[in-house]
Amino acid sequence: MANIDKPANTFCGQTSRREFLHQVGGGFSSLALTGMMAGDGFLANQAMAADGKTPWANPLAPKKSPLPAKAKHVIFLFMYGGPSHMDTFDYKPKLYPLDGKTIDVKTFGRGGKKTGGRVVGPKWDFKKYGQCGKQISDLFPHVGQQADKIAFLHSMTADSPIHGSAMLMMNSGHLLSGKPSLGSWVNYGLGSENENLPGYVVMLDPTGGPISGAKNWTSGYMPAAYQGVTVNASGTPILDLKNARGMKRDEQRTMLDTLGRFNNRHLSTRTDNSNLAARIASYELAYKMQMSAPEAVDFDSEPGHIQKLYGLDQKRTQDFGRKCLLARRLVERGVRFIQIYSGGNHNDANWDAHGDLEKNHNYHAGNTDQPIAGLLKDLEQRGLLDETLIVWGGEFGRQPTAEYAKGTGRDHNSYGFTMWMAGGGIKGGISVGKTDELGAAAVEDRFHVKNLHATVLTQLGFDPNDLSYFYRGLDQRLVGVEGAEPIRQII
Amino acid sequence: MSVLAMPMVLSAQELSDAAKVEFFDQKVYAILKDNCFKCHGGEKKLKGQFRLTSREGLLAGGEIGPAINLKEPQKSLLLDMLSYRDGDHEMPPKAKLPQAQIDILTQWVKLGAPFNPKLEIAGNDVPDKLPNTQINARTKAYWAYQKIQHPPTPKVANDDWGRSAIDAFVFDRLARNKLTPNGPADRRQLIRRAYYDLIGLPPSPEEVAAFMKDNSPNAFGKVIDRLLAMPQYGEKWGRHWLDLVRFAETNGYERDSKKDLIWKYRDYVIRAFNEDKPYDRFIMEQIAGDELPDKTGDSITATGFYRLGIWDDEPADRPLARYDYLDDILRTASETFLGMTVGCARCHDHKIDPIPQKDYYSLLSFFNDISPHGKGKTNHVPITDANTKAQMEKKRAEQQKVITAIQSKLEPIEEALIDGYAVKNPTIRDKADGKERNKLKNPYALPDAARGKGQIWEYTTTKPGDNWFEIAYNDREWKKDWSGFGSKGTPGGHVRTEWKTSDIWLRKDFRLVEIPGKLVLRIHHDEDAEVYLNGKQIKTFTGHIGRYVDVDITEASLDVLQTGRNTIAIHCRQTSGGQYIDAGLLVDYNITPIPILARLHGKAILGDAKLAEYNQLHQQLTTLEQQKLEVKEEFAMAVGERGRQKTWILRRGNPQLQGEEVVPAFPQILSASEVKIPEGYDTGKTSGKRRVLAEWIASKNNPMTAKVMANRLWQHHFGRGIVRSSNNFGHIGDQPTHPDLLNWLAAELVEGDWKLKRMHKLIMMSRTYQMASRGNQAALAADPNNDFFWRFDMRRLTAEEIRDSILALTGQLNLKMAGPSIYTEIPAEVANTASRPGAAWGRSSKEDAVRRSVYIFVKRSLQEPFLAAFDWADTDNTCDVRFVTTVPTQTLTMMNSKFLNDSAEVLAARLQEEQPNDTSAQVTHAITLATSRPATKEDVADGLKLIEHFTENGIDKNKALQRFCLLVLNLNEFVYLD
Repeated sequence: MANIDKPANTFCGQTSRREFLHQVGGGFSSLALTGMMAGDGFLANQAMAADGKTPWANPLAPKKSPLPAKAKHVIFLFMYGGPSHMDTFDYKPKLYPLDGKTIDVKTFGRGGKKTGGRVVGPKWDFKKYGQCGKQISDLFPHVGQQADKIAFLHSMTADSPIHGSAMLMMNSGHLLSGKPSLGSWVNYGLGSENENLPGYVVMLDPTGGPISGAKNWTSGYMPAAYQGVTVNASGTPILDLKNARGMKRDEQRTMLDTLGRFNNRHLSTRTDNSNLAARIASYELAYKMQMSAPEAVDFDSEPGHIQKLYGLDQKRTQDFGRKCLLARRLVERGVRFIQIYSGGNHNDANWDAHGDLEKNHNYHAGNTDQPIAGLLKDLEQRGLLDETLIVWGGEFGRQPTAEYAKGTGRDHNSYGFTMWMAGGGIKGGISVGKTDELGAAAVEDRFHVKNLHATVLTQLGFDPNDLSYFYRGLDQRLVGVEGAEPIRQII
Repeated sequence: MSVLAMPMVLSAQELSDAAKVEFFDQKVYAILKDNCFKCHGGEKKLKGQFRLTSREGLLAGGEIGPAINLKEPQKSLLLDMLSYRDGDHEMPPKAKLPQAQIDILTQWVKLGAPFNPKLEIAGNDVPDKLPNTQINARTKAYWAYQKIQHPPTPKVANDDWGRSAIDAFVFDRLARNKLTPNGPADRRQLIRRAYYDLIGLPPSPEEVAAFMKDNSPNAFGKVIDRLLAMPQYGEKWGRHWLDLVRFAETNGYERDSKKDLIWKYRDYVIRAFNEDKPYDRFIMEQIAGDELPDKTGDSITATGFYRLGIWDDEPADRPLARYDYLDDILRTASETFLGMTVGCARCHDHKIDPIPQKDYYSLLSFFNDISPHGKGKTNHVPITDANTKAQMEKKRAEQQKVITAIQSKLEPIEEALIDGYAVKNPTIRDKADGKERNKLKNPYALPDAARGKGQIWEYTTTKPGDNWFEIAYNDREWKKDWSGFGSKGTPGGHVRTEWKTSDIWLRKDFRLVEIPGKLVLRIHHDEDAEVYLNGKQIKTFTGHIGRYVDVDITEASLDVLQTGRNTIAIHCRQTSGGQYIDAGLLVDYNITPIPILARLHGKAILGDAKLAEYNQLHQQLTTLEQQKLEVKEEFAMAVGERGRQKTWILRRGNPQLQGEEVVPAFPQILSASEVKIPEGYDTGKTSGKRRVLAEWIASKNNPMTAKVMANRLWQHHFGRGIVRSSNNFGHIGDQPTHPDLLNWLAAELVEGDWKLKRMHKLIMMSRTYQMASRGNQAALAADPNNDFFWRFDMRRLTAEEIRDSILALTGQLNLKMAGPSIYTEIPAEVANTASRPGAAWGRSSKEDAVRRSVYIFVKRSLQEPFLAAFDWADTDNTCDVRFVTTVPTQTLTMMNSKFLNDSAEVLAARLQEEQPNDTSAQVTHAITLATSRPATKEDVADGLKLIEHFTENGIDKNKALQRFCLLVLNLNEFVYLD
């Protein structure tokens, strides 16, 4: 890894490389070429920062975290729409008998700020699970079995109870559009362990993306190389991965070799321009990616009991199960950050239960419970859970009171909600923070989304207040200029 | 200060100093240490500039003032913060302290906040007050803030490099650094460079050949002149400007709604560059085009500048969202026009540059009256000028004359028709009977769901065949259910059948015994709906309405309505929120429209000749009336103001924490004078403030404006600015590599009446621009970054240039300019990332889909994937320098995407046509098209070998050629200049 820090236009030891390229032009193995080029910094120094001067290393090259890391990978299970905490993991026994009664409680949701409303009692019973005896609702019997692996954060808060801005906040730490997402920060800070796969993968619900689409996995003011790549768990995993118009792999090889001859002739009088060499190498990288990526989604190679563990044998859990299984396979292959969306599109196609809470949550929890539990179990049995941080949650929670005169629907709630984390050095079987008796607002150990982000970065081996990117005259940080502390109770 | 010296409150008098310190030691210290020290002085950070680890720090307070009020201890800010009374008074941030601890701290404050000096942690509490942030003679002397003037041109000992001032400046620095400039570039490379720099497209082989042959000394000058006169110049350079103002056509966030007509701003920018509009005027128009004494439709369109940014239609905090909107404008304007990062002073004084927070809010007050953003037509402003209006009126009057003339010819025929029909059908004239008939007859040809129990319609939510709205369409497979259709709770709806998908198609037959005199459609739609009657689209609706409305469709249905079976068909599409569709038809049989009478009975009553005359006159009348509708007033999305707002400094940028009131003022570091709004600037609708700001920015005395623009011109010719951080001329930005040259260019720009085309030519005629890009060991070792311009830097084509070049190469490029944006074909995988996969992207005709990239719709939540892959500008922030990245996903796009493979096929077809049946000539031709140079022997041999390899493996010749074409489009030499 020689020349990673050299400036953009550096004249760096090109002679040997040029000779090598000529040999390659004569039929040398191009796969070896890629390794060599990537290794000796060919792919480095290829781009410039927004100031047009600062060079940086190949955005895809793996980097070491500045501090010892507990976690190497993150799987963010995004329950888009906002799951109800008092119906899932935040047990509120006093809320049941209040069902139907009108009470005073401050809420702020889609319907604006209110000072009271009709209580909707939790619609599911809770049971104790695990050695920790965690109370978990009947929506998540499988996840319940894994309670001893999980740290529950009951006192999460966010700045907005409106999907548009709240999604941006959960994904990028800011209400305003245009900032890089958490996965981009990870990609920027750590690169990818596997150059044949994207470092930051996003898997969407079959009903469509979340609102604001690609803004949720954007790299904002950073180069596009750091943004999330959407990957399909069935069919062709990555856009344009497959050869077009019936080109066979050996034909493609001939084609790339010929292209290499043209490009090397062009390079021979321009050897100081590493961008040209990087572009030549990118063809070989893509060629390898075309082989590696489909292998990653080859579920047939998984034994039946594993497929079953993730719920691939059942229609309801099949889709999310495939994604969870793919997430594990990607973790095994060195992908840093994986985000899986449960729910997409609008209204009841996600967890946004404004109308019939029971129908909505039964549906979405039922689709995801077993796959999530399967993922936790499988990662553990492979010894991967220690290095893989799992995050579960939505952009906010829901209110204890009903949104409309009739029905069980709950409006959004960013004053207090539950998320959970597991693996990656997170303590299991504990719960931190509390909401009030109604679940209306966090009252004890309140944590902001930024604390969650800080925790993720800390586990990955960063000081969250140090990881910065220079832009617009400022060292920008995921946790903002004010900074944020990780949630120490769980690490 | 000693505790005794303090004015004492009652309880304090009862304790000795020692006792107070003891109280601090035993009760207070632990609370402060555990809860406050971490952020306020106990460790390296010092939040809010507030030190709580020493009494001095406590009394001095932080950003928002002293923490302790010794006179009225209960009113101390410190206690206020502990109270958690609202979101701005919550310390410590994690959770409110237990009441017992708050009581102890309250008592402590009442005691005068005694401290144990031994436990104090002192510190240098002014770490951020770097000297550059103050406004004084020294900071005013910073290079960027100096007056623009021609510096003396250096004398250089080289004749070739001494002729142009630009070259003299460059050569002088090279010589002083012992560097030798490269020789001139190969002419083929030079013309290619010029084409891409000025119009963003490659030269044709013929254009290259003509230039090669032209031995006149002014050959290159002629090329430049020709390119500058081409309309494609405005498209190329307009795009640079669109990057800066973060041009996009949606507002972002959940709905990411379309900003109707904002494309007119894009066209304005392109037009401005093509017209060589002086840059000062260009600034004036964008900032205050509606306030100028000589305002035009164009100058008002220019103020679309204020409507380009993101805005949240459903913000969690409205006052904050308002300031976010203004902040976005201020940041964009200050960086774009002035190269100053004023935005950094929103919450506190600028930490690097001499821009106090007060300057930020003083500048903000120029924009504070701007009306908020809104959907639909909220921000539409008429742009038709008085002259055009008068002409329109005149035309209208002339038209009316013609119409009257036709009508006078029509009337006798119509009379004859009615008379004739009355003979056959006496009731037609019997108006008295009308009311009775109305009572007897049901006025509903088709009741809507608000009447009774609704109607059974045929419907489907999966996209039906193309002719689904025709009478004869077979809808037997469709479902049947009661109207209305929608989701519960939609305002004004009567949902009987749940519809939750994005689209629904409805059909319903109804019978008419006779043709009604009036036909009214009663409809409730949420959102867009198209209504067809007997196969004819008679109405389209957009948006949602929340109630039933009546629309007269008599005219529209005249030519299709029939007795017996009729079919109404509706397609409704919903993008967000609730959804609902229902419709009914009301009829009035009193008067039968004459055209229908003519259609049904004309032949019998009038005879063929008279009927033909009637039809012809009627046709003329209809056409004229349609034209009449076309001459309507034009609108653009532009600025507007509402009321007169006061502006305050907001502490910590928080709208709730209003500080000192401010009035419009320019940054103090650049200007001492107070801002007065001259008489006559107030337009009634607006205050005239923005005009004052525009005049100050666009003034030749402004030290920043011309420098910043001259630097941008240089940047887009050389790949980097003289100041590389072209939006930031401040202390943390890059310093100019050639300050004198920059000053000289800026002075030239101003003296040349701010005309840009002249500047392009000046730059491009220099030896500096025409240098070769080749490297050499010595120079690379001494100046690897090319800071001194010893060579011209190679560059990769931009995203737009790559796409447009591919289209140019294949001969498909459609150079049609202006108008609403177009959509390219995007892969389903990309459309599926949107929350409404079907509705996220539009569709353009084949001809439109191959127009230049600058006309592609810019959607914030779904960027055109090809452009996005090649480092297109960010849409949410001003973009001064684009990234140039190389990643394998680009390669996948270039090898496997439909666009590239389609293009390769078209290119192959072009080769076949232009060099039929001569593979060798085809290979040569393709390489020349892509690289502007003749193919070498090796090139041709490699190309032929590849094609041969494929054909030998059973691939047909045409396909083999297509694959070679795909290779050509992947050449480094194609996507890199020089």
